[in-house]
Amino acid sequence: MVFQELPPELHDFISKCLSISPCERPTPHQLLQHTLFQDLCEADTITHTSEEMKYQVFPGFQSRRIPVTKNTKHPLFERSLQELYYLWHLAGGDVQAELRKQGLIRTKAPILSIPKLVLLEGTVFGQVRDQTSMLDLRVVPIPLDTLYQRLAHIPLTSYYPLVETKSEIIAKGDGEQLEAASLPLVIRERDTGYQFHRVVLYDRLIKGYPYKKAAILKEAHKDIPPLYRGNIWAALLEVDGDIDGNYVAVDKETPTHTDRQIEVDIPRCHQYDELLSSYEGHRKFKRVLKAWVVSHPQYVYWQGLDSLCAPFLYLNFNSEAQAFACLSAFIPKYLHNFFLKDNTAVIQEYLAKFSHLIAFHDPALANHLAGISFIPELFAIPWFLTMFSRK
Amino acid sequence: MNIRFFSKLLRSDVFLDYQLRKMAKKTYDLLFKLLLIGDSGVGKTCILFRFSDDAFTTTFISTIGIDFKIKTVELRGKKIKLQIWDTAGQERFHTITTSYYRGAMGIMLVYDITNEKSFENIVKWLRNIDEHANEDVEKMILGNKNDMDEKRVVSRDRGEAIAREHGIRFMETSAKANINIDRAFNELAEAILDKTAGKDPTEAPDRVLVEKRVDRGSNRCC
Repeated sequence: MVFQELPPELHDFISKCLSISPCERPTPHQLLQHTLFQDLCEADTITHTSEEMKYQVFPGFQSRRIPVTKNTKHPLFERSLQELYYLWHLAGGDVQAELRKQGLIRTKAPILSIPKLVLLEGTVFGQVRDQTSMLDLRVVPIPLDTLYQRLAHIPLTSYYPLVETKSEIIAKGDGEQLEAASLPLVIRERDTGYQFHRVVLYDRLIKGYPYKKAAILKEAHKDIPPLYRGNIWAALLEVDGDIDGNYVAVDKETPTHTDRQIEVDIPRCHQYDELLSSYEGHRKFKRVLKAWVVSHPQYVYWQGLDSLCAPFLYLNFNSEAQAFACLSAFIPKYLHNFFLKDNTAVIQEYLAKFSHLIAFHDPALANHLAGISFIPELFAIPWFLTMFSRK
Repeated sequence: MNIRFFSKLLRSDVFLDYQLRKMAKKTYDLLFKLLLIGDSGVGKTCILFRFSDDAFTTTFISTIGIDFKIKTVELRGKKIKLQIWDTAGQERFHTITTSYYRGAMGIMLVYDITNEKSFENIVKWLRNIDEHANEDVEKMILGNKNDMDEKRVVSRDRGEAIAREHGIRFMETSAKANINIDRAFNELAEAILDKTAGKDPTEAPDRVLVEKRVDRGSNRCC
């Protein structure tokens, strides 16, 4: 019924496609010649013959897309806004400075907001209302010139790294990238060009997760761009499935006995970071910790769990669910049974192994420590319980 | 665990210095072991930090298990080395922390004057002391954070009353404003010194005895 009512062109097209005999069925190429596509023919590439297609994709690839002229969009615009901002910031971009240039952030001497004259009945003269904090609907375009300049020498191919071929081929073709790879990490993390390569590559790999897990691990041995650290950790911890759904399903609101301890610990222990010490940070922190305690009835909250949770929350500040999933995956992997209600056996085991390790690697030190009875119980418990996240 | 890093750390100059000082001839006459206990977040670590380093910071991390600091004080011409153990307040750590009660000669029981629950738990902590510490351990109750008078929920009278009831010294302190911190440690150390030296406790000047104690022993060895 519906089929009969279709426009005649489309009806004809579908009928052809549905031809029972393969010999009568047109090839995709022939189908493209169908009247249905007549309008589109002039518009774009679909009309290419298979010969042309081949040509376009391979040798013609660069000639067709490389020129960054006024009509062609810069390939940078295919990147996500998040990446663009990250690279722009690395290239020296400063939002506040841009806003200041536009006069949206004005600094005013405090003395200017004092009224010139105040009458006893309360009338005030000369006090101009401060307009800096009022809503301004102006849209401020952020100039990308510096970023373009920094990335000007990067060949177009670098925007589309081939992750299936041997990456050495690409690396060899790009001397700069290799050169930067030998620099110290702090410099690499500030180098716009290098970060561009890494971000583009990791973006590809993360999109290919879980199939690209091995490649992510391999690249992570070199370095991890700060922008994607949260996602890469999640990938390496094999976080998978419906993380949002799992997180939503956990009851994070009903009061429990651990609440008091969590509320005491969060504000005092995490003041080193602005984000984690903010109101919103405290709220998220508490929710993630509660979710973990509630969803793992065999475990309890030991002080130190907050320190373990902090890096995951920091890296996934906008996704509590991912922070929770990472924490949940990390603990069984590296701190198995540490959070049992009675964890004495596990802690003792670690401390004993640790003592043996010192004795093996540095007997003099071990003797000395034993001599002054500086046993590992005195200093190593927080190391293991927080997986060194405090040190 | 990077063991090389660890051995490097312990052999660093700071630690060597500390070791050398330890190895040098005894620089003190007496060694007193003190212990700080009380609920989580009442300020035990801050009190200790104020006493040992004369500083205060609000950015503290929770104590996991046990920690310690050493400070030498001079009392009545004697150099006394105070080895002060700081414990985790979270109840779960009790198995670790209670094993340090036995060796303690003085225990400071801390509550927070802005937190009712921490005050109510004093009784519980006293019971812990009875169970795990030496019978003649010197005790002192500290009501900390008394710079925050506007948030106070436990009056000074209630603190004094509970101390009197158990025959223990009492003081209100503030690690932040540096109120009574040195005094508290000195007083506790003196009380121990009195016992150790077997002297008459009335000799000690400047003391607020909530109730006359029964001096249980003399000539105690450390």
